[in-house]
Amino acid sequence: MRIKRLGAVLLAASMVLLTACGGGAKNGGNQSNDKTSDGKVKLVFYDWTDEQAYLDPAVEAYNAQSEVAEVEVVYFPATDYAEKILSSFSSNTEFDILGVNGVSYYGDYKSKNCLQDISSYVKDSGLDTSVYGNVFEQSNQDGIFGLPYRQSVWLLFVNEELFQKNGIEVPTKQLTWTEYRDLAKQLTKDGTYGGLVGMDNFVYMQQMGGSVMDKDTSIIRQSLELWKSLEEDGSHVPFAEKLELGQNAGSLFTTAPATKVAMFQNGTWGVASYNSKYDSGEMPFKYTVMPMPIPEGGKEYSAPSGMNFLSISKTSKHPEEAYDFIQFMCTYEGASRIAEKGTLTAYSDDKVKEIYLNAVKQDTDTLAKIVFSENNVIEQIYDENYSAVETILKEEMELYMIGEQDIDTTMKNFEERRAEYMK
Amino acid sequence: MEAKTLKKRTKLTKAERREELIAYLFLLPNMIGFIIFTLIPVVWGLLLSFTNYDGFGDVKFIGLTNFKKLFQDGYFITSLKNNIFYTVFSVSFTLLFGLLLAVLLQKKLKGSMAFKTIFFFPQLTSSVAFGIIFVCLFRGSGPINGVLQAIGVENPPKWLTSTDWSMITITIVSVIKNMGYYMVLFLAGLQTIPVDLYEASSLDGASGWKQFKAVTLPMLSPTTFLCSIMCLINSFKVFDLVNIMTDGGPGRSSNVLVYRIYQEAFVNYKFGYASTYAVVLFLIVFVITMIQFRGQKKWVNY
Amino acid sequence: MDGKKTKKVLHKVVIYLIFLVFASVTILPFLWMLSTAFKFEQDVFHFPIEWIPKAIRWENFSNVFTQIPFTTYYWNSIKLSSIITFFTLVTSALAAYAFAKLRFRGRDKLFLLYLATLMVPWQVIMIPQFMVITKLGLVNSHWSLILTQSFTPFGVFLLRQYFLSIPKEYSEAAKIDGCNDLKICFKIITPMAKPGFVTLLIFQFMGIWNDYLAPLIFLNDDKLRTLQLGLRYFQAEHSTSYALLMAGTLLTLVPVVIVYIFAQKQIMNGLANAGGIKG
Repeated sequence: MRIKRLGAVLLAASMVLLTACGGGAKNGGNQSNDKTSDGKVKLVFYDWTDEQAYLDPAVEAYNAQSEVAEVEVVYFPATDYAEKILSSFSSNTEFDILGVNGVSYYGDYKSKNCLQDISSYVKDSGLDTSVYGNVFEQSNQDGIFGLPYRQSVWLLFVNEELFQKNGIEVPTKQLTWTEYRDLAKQLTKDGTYGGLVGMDNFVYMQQMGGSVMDKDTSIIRQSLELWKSLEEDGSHVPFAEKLELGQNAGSLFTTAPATKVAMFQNGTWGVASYNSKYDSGEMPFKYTVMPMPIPEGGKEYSAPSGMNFLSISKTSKHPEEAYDFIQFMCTYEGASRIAEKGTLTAYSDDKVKEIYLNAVKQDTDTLAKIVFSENNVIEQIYDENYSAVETILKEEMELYMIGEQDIDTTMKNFEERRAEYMK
Repeated sequence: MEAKTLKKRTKLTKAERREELIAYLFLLPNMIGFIIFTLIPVVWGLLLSFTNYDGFGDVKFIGLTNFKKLFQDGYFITSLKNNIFYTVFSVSFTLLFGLLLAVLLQKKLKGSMAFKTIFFFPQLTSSVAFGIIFVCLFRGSGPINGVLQAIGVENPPKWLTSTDWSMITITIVSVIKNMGYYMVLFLAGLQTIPVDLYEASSLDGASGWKQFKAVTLPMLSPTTFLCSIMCLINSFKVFDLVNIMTDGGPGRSSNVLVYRIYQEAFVNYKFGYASTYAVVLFLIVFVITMIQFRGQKKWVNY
Repeated sequence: MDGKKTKKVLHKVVIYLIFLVFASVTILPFLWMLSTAFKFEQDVFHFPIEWIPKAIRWENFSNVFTQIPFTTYYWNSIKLSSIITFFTLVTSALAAYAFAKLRFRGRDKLFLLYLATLMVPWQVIMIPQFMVITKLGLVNSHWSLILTQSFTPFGVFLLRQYFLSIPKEYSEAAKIDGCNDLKICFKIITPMAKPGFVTLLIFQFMGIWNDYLAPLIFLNDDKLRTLQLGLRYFQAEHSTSYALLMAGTLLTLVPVVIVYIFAQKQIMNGLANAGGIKG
């Protein structure tokens, strides 16, 4: 008897649980088949959380004016966004639009046939893609698979107070790497470092037109040696300390006892984020900016620049409506709203430029010179093996930077391992 | 083969057949879910090792190409070596400390409950948060080196930024995190030992170490078997701590098998090749487990 | 007599010393979490570390609630962890009973198959599993998590081992008394293996509670997401908000600590029960 009662209780309990979860299942998957009550197509748009602050207002504006579609944005954690997109593609999950984080992912998704070619839509709409500049043209040799909604340019963020403390003026003209190195040394005093290299970047290499795929690795070598010399001067935060913090190294400039770093090599994404950190008091000083140093005899204001795209998923059943949205986001309407949040858009006419410059609250026109420079170079040229080779370079570079192997061994290992991988 | 099973079947009595039927009924609820949601994906995943699947859709059968490539791959050899180091040390210390704490807690001294919660705390925290915390603790200018310098160690180790230490540091953190897990398993095992067995052995004049050897260890052996197999399997699946604390670096010094699987699959889009790693990993663990499984008859007391 | 007493005291002192050593190691990360949760972001990496923050920032806790839909995530995590744990306990107990107490052909081979699936890392299974989920139309529902995680081979393995450690005599005696297997499983074996049962409960609850990769892949809707997924929000692409992350993590600890303490109390009672049945 008791067992029966137990069985009955278990059964009842599972029934309750089953119905309790039923609610979730109804929201499953194919929402884009649904239309809204006023006959608009529902579009699902994937992006990562960092983008929310400036995408939300633009999406809202789109939904308010559009007669064809209503867009719902789903944000995923930045750290795992690539996995989410990959698994969605591999299982043919239906969604319409995705944010693509940089030229490398753009190339990957394109070559794996996961993005829809929008060339014909672009042509029909009469959109002039030359507004997106060189970088865009360079990455679209064989059809257009997305429009860029924002871009980033490398620059130096500066803690002006530390300059003043040392009686040094923030230079207004662009420095060469040698001049930069000297300046960093002068700023290094009492636990303050002159500079901090942000993410693992190969700015010098990119300015010289080099790439990790180069057959002749001499530019890569110079780039590593430059980095090492900055470290050996003692004028830059030691590589090991940066390595420990990984993606968070920037906090040494912004938040860690804010007297630690005078110049920080980072990208324009910092602008909006540091402004809000300054407003909330998390970043206790007002930063200013300097252009990235250039190689001796290099072109003025030439910094590496990257782009983020909006693309249409191969699984979307509404490419036409999705394009309508993408075009909105990547032209004046969307761009002006994104720029309002201090984020550099890929589309820029005089009005958007003005909106952007107002939003970033800089006293000088240095930032304008940096971000709107004609000479900015593409951050990386797409290659199928790029990520794998870059990983190999990073691994060898780490050993070099922490002093466990010399430059000759580093380059030799890199070349050998790259050759082995490409075999 | 056929004849043998047939012969066996005819030998079953009615009662035995009934028992079989009941057994299958008991297994059914778990097995349906197990087959659909675990077994099929596992087999599928492993079969991908014979293909060039890229994760996006294209699949082509390429035979043993991936396996040939694997044995010449420097990453494979490095990550296997690192993983074996990790396995040897993390498994032995985790089990040893887990058992030690369980046996001492079993004495039910005052404050045991509080200690038990403190020991288990690292398990309660997600490995993401736990890894982040330990990165901060192990930084060059972090609190751990602060203490070491205060007690006179002039050159404390570069825990996370030297090839000599990175794997050791991850092993230490994993032992701290996981010993509580096995402590709880051992404690449960100790609780299952019927009291009368202790009473009986006390009557025979056994106590302390003698009783531990005569009663506790043999009676605990099913749990010990469980713990050693789980700890071994998990040690070959270490990923989270590596991913968060070192990204396999510096260089490749803390790259382990599953971290490399992750890189091949999700960074290089070589799922087929990543599966090849998984097959080899599987075979290694399976062989060791089989040895333990066969060997258990000698030491596990059922 | 006196010598024996001093020996006993000495024994206790040694045990407490060992406890203190281990406790100081395991409590260190907790203390860091606790102190960081109350800090201003700019004080997190202060050198030397301030274990007790000079400036306390209570807003960290309220910010956790305003920056992400924390309450929704909390509820989802509680719901999923409880349901999955419940299903795991029931189905694992049945299967473990069959493996441990019943004889059938191919038992050891089938058990090895269960064990073998544990040896394949999730990174390899993830995409195939997600495809199964997609085929069944379960993407973006809690069902995807419930169905993929309720039938863990680990649960079967764990309970099987504890069931095995219960001497045969108990179930045989019950059989002679005319009990059927269902009754023996739930009325005799399960109570005796209560410590193992409760251990599985803790592990499963904790495992689901702290999982983030499966919810990330299987779920989209904000209102379905879980806590650990939510906490990733504080790790942005280029910076981590340590103070908020730690405040959030601290808040997620509450239910698991309660489950753990409750379960440990149950384990302590387990012993009495086991003895009681014999008598």
